[in-house]
Amino acid sequence: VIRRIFPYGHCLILAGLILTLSWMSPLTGWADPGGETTISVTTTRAIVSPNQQIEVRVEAKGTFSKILKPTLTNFSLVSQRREGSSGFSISFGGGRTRQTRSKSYALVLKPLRTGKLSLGPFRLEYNGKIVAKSAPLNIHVLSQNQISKRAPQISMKLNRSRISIEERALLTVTVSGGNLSGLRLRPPTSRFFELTERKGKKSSGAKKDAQGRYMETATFNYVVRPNRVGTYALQGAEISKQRQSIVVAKPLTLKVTAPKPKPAVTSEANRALKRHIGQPYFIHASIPRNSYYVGEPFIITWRLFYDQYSSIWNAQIESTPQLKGLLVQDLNIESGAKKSRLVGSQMMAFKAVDHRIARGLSPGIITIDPMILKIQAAGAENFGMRWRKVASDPFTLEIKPLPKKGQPADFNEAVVGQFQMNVSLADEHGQIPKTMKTGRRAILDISITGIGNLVGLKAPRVVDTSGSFTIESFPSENEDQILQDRTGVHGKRAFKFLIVPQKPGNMVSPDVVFDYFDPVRESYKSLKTKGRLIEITGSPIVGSTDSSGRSQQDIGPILPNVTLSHHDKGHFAGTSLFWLLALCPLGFLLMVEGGWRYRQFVGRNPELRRAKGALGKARKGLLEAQSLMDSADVKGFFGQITRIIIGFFEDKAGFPATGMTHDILRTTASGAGFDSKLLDDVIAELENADFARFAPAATLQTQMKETLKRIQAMVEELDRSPVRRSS
Amino acid sequence: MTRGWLFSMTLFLAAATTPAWADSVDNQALFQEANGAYGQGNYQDAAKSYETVLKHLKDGAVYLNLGNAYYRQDQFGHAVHAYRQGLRLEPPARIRTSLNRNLETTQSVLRSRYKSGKVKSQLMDNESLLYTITHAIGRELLTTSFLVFWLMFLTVLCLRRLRKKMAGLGVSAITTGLAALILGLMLWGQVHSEQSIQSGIVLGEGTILREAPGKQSDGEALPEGIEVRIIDGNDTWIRIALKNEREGWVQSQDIGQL
Repeated sequence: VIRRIFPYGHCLILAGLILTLSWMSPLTGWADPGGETTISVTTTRAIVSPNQQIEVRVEAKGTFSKILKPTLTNFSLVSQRREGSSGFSISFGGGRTRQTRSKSYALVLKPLRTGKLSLGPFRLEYNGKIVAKSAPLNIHVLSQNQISKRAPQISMKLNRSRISIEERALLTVTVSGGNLSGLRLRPPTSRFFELTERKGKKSSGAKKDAQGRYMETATFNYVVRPNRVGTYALQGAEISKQRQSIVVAKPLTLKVTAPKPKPAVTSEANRALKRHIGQPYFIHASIPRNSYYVGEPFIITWRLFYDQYSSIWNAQIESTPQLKGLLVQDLNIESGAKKSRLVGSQMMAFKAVDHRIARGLSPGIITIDPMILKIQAAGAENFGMRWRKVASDPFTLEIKPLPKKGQPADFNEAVVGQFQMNVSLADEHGQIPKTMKTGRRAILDISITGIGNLVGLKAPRVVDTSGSFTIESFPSENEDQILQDRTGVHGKRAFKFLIVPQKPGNMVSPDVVFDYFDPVRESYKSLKTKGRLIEITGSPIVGSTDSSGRSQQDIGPILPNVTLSHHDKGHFAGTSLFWLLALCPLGFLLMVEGGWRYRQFVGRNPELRRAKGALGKARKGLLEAQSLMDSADVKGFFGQITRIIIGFFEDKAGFPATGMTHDILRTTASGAGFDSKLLDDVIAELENADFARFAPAATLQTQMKETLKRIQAMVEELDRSPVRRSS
Repeated sequence: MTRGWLFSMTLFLAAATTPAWADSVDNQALFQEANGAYGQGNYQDAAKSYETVLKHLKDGAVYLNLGNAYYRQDQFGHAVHAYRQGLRLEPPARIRTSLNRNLETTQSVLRSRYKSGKVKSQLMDNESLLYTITHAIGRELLTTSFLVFWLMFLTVLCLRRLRKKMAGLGVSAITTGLAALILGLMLWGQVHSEQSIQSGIVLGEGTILREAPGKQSDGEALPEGIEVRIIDGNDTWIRIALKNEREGWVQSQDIGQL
């Protein structure tokens, strides 16, 4: 039964027997977990100054129950901390069980005297016996006259002076001096670099100066990571004591260069996704084959691979590959649904980012340079929402020349693909012609269908073997149906020829020959359709008028798909209204010019300017008088009338009328050239105003209105009087 | 009585509203039909249909296709006439480009035909220098440019009076004024040449320029497709002037008026 259940049961029994024997027998040393029980005591500094504390590390491993410390006579214990974990395991060997463990702790000691002091030994006890002990640790505690008087110094050193932005540099900061206790180090700073201290890489020691005295040294190591390209300074580290700077290191310059471009791999090597194992996301550019013929279209697809538990929030193409040596056209195809694929042992999701259709222009090795994509990803790798750049690896592909062997004469190298040809001949009524009259036209309709370089396809050869037809190419671009998608370039090209019989008789219509290169079979193919026999009637056509002129150049095609509309809207520029409207701004210009010229004229004639000023002032005064009249201020009104008249004389004639008696005013104004009769009226009004100022208000309302009218007329008349201005 | 009124009103409304819509549909259908005939190589029928469309609707594309249909029938004079008429409509740029290209091709064919005859070849030459200068820029662009420079010129002059301290106004005024003057002259030249000078195209190869109206008069054959100036005429005979200032009479059916 045991054999049925365990067909190899005897093997199990044998193995169990061997294990038992090895446990029982003291001779089988291979089962002994072995390992000695050891204890070591170390310190980072063997030479210290009198008040300096020492850190001593004790490490024990093996089979022991406890660590026995020595009696501290030369040192006092400041602190003790446990460092290493205490392991515990049971081992078999020598016919008995054994416990093994490890333990480590650090002691901070303070020396009590100077000179060469000894610490130890530390011992391990197991079952009441000492199983191991450490060697004594010698520590040299310096006296004051043995310590160097040298002030603290600091220096920085970079392991490289030039790195690329993807690389890291190592910065070493060394501090030395007679006594470094109580000093603080401020590491160097720079916004162009990120500095990280290398843990466990700090060291300290002592060395002698020129006088043979001891001085301390401490070394700190930092990893410098640049964050931009250029030459930047790394500011010096600083030593300070109680927040006061003591010494600053000299700054260092580090040149950061752009990342080195990745070397292009072959198309075959590029196809293997194993190169990207372990990468959380990457772009992979792919082409179906490793080599193509000149002119052969092929699709380049860029796919973004990413961890299937991540999600891509945004993806933008930052830089597109140049693809030199290829004729490239963008395929506007949707990226489609997310798919998954195993890359190494990791299942990764991928999506197409871009598709392009390309054709090699000339033979050679073409490099598909990297496409750089900016992505915003989040997910298992905890990318956060930061934008990250990812670039595809460059790779090469071969563009092969078309073989010369079997190449037809005058072969056009653009005709590469797999094609079929269909030829039909129809007369003016759309029927296959059996008989035709000379001079009548028939249309030779040729369609080339298939997959390949349809865009660069040239018209098939139409060969008139009978020599009795004229052949003319006919525009037919509208019937082309060229599709470009993930499968490549496919569809139909249409070619039309007008053939016109010139001679009567039984003639064979032109043959159609189409040569192309098949890149799959790697050979040239020729498709040929023979002409059909047609009976040509009528008289022969001799000396066509202009065939020489037209055969060299032809008119463009008709416009078939146009929505008709009236274009004859008439030209607005041809109407009088247009020119009238165009002249309108000229009127504005004339107004501006007229105004300017008037102001210039007034400016050049001071008398006119004064007269204009006097009149303007008088008119303003009359308005004020009217408001006084409306408010029934009799005294104010007539006072204003007096001021208007006196002021007018002063402004226009230039003599001081204020304070003059009426007689003197009359004489002076008359002398200035004012009319005597008009002056009589003026004097009468002045007297009237003097009198009326003291009359009762109620009786003078009407009088004020009349006075205002008279004064208005009088001022206008005075303004018209030609006067001599007194000097 | 009421029924009769209603019927009359319906007829009137139908007559008043439908023709414009029906016309546009018919023209479009006729245009497509003509294109189909052209595609079949039936250029004569295509040309007739295009002519019918043009009786109702002046469209540059129809003139282009009509010119092509004439060209395919070797009627180059008619083709030139159609292209020139199409260009006169100032159609959209795409159509204008096609019209210009086909006109140039047709004239090139005619030039190669008449290259042996010196006089005819001269008559086939391009337009005069003045015409070339005035028509160097399209009408729309010329009109816009003229108005812009004219307004700029007047604005600068106004600013000279209103803002005395502004520097550089004198130079600006001279520059913009000159530009406005040149553009205005070009525009005026275009308008004047089209409105006051009546021109036509010689349609057929057998057109005879005679000294007097009447078939008995002596004459010489004119090259097909050349542009001539129409001086006066009647229904049957037209008096024309050639570019070399030679005048004479031709039958009106041989000249396509522009």
